Amino acid sequence: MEKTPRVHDVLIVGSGPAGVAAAWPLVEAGHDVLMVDGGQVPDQSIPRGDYESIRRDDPNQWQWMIGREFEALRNAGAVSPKFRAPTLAYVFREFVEANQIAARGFVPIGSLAVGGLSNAWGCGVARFSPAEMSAFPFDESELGPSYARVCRRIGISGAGSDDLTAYFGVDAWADPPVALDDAHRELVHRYARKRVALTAAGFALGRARVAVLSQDREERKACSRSGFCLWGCAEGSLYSAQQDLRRLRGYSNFTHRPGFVVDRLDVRAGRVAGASTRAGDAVDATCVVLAAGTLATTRIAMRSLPSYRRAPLLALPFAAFALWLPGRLGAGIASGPAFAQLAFALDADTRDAICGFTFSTHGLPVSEFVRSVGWTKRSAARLFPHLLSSVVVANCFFPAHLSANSVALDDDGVLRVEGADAPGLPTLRTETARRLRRAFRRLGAHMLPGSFRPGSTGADAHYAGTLPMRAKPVIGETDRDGALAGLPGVHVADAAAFPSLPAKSHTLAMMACADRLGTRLAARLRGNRA
Amino acid sequence: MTTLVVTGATGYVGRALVRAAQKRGIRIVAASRRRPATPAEWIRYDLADAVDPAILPDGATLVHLAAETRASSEATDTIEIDAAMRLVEASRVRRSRIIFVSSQAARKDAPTRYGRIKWRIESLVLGAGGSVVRPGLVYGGAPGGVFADLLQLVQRMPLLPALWPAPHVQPIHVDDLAAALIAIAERSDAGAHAYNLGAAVPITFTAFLRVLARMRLRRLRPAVPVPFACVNAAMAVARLFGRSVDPDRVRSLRELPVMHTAADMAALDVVLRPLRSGMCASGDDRRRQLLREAHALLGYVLRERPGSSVCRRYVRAVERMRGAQPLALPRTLTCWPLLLALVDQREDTAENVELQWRLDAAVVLAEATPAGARRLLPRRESPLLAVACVGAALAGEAFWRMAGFFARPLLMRSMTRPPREP
Repeated sequence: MEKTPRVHDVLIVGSGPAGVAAAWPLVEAGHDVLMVDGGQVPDQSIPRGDYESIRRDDPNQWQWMIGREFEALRNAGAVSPKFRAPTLAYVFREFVEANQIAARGFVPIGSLAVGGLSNAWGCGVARFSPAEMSAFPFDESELGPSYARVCRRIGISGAGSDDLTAYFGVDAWADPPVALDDAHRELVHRYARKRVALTAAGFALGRARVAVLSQDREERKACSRSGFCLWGCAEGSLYSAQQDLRRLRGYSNFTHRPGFVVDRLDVRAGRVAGASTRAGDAVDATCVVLAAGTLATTRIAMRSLPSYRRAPLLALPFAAFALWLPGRLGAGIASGPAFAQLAFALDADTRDAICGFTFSTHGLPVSEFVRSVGWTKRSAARLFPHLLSSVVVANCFFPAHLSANSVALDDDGVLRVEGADAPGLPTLRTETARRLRRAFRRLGAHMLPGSFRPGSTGADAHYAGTLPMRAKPVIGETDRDGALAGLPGVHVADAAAFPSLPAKSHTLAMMACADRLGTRLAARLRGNRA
Repeated sequence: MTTLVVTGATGYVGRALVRAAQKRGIRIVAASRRRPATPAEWIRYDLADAVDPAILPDGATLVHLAAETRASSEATDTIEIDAAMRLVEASRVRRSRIIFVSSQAARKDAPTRYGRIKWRIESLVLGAGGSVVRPGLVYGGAPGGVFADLLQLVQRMPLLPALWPAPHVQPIHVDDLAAALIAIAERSDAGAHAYNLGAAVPITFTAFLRVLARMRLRRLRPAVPVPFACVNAAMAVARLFGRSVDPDRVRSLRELPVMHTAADMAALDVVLRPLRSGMCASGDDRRRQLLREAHALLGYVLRERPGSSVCRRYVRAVERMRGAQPLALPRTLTCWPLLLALVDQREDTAENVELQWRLDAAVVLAEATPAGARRLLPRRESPLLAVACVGAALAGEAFWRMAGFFARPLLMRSMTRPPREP
């Protein structure tokens, strides 16, 4: 049966944070929006209740701890335990296969899930400073209204005048923070006493700004500090783009079509057709917004632009380490949130700032520590029950100019990702470890010997820069409105269009840019119609 | 691929043959009195029936398994011989090959009627250029034939008869026999030849029964010497429980000639599974070994006996993700899981990578149980106690590292050796 294909005003590829942020202004302006995504949905429910009592009493805890397909035993090499959480397995499932990505020296991360990677997000939010956006072809202040709209919609917390207020730049829209646990409160107290010396050494500490509710909001609940964050939030306290998508579905001019993975775009006669990876399946639109995540967006762009086959790929090098607070030995499980509680930055006022977060060990499987310490398992299993309550874990991110990764599309349509570090990274990492060791020691927190470990390249999942925005874009670059040069009608809303990437969390900045793009596109479409 | 027409397809060996052949994509025509349980083409066939050669498709191979199971008499002998003659004739007309499954007891001068009949049929088949298979004692899989009788016997009797003088048997698992039959059917050069199939080294009948009791029925049965003369009495007892046993078949045990099986087994490229594996209901004891491994590794991590559900989860994980092969853990380590600390050391050899994966998996699986959470989750305790426990863990680690340095090479060597045969 042949049907005349419906031509939508806008096709948005991807339902993650960038996709929904771009969708809102378009949908609210009344345009006919079709959003497609990989259609993966959760297949295992997130536990509810009190973490400790469930762990101690529930014989069925293996269902979410291990998973029916033994997800917890897969990806043993990944630094982040998220890649082993059975409840999050759907987020990463089949992305690499469906998008034909082959990687060397790089862990390629992306999502076919409804809501994209935001389902497994650490929820860190920050505003890029004017200096950090100096490579962008528009003025940072243009993003102000977009930041405000996005923050109000997704709900962020962590406001508090501390030494990172300026660095994160979002306190104007943030709710008060979720209460800290005891270990982190101690760190904050000690920091207050040692502040002058530490800031002089370039170290600043403050609350993590996160897209987590500290107050109830419609059907989403304020964080109950249940400790299940690693597996996802059954109360909806952590932001996920699925929540926005649910509200967008209420608009009659918005259509969501899950399970449509775009392979390539064909531009002809002022229309763009998006062809799915499944043969013979296609959709038509006046214009397209790519928001499939940097890797997938890049592949679609390269598949559609025959002359654009190779690009540098920005990603954040990172490391993880553990801090020991001797005073807390024997304190037991500290109840508190399992997401980032405190943030720190080195040289926060420069473009080379290094940024990191600290987490409680509460709400992390103890086996994560037993496995990684390199002891005989039995001794390690005897050590950690007594040691862990005095341990806090942390990560730190380096700016993307210290990575030297690249992507290229080969003749078979496979996107090949090559991971590499910039020459300066190893020295900087050693130097950073030394500075952090010293700074935290002043806070009574000792970096456990041998615990400072670089993460695998790419495993940070902060990618950008393959289709960078330029004032005068050439093929494969985007203009100040995200329009992709060489493919009229195609726009890039995700971080693929970022010409540079600082160490701080970039999701909020990406959503703000997508909101700005959606707003400007909505205005232009209205102009065209008129 | 060839077509197999199987008489007696619903019997003990027939069922195994049909299943194995179908798994290989071989077309099966079952010729039996009853319709086979597995879906297959079926023609009604009784030993007493006339045979229309048209039932044999072109190029088919006829596997003749059907046999009289009633006690042999003049009448049953005639039925068997006549049936064989008709089948040989039909296969000659259709130019198809015939494979006859005979018995270890088959001999011209066999002491039993049973053995002599089998020998006469063998001569018929060999004369027509067919192949003959003489299996040893067939056992394993879903009970059937003599194996079912023996199972029942051991189940009901408190003691095992250690027959005297001791008869010897050469067991072969029913699935291994099926594989051998398929191998013969697939050989293009198979001429008139009698294949002797069974364990190369005979074992006493009592040893066979002991493994059956232990591995299949999970019972301990002490053996008492029984003169062969009492066997008839024992069979009478078995008959009381409703199964008709051909006394001739059991009597023929006594006079079994030793078969030289090695050459035929090698020619067919069939390797028999060890008796202890084959005797498990699943057909191998990998799962049992994996369970033992699960108990050892989980016990090592938990410092207590692991629950059965977490052990089963470990077995499933290894089956799903690591190819189901059990580690060759020495008995010392499975009996004393604590000693696993001696081999739980960092080293980049292939077998250690596998051991470390399983130990890691054991930690993860053990933690996701209430017992594991109680062991592993941080405790509220006095700081002094915490310091003491951390110190003890450090000291313990130092001790095991040192002990492992000396003991590990020895233990790892025994782990790379193939598992011991029973």
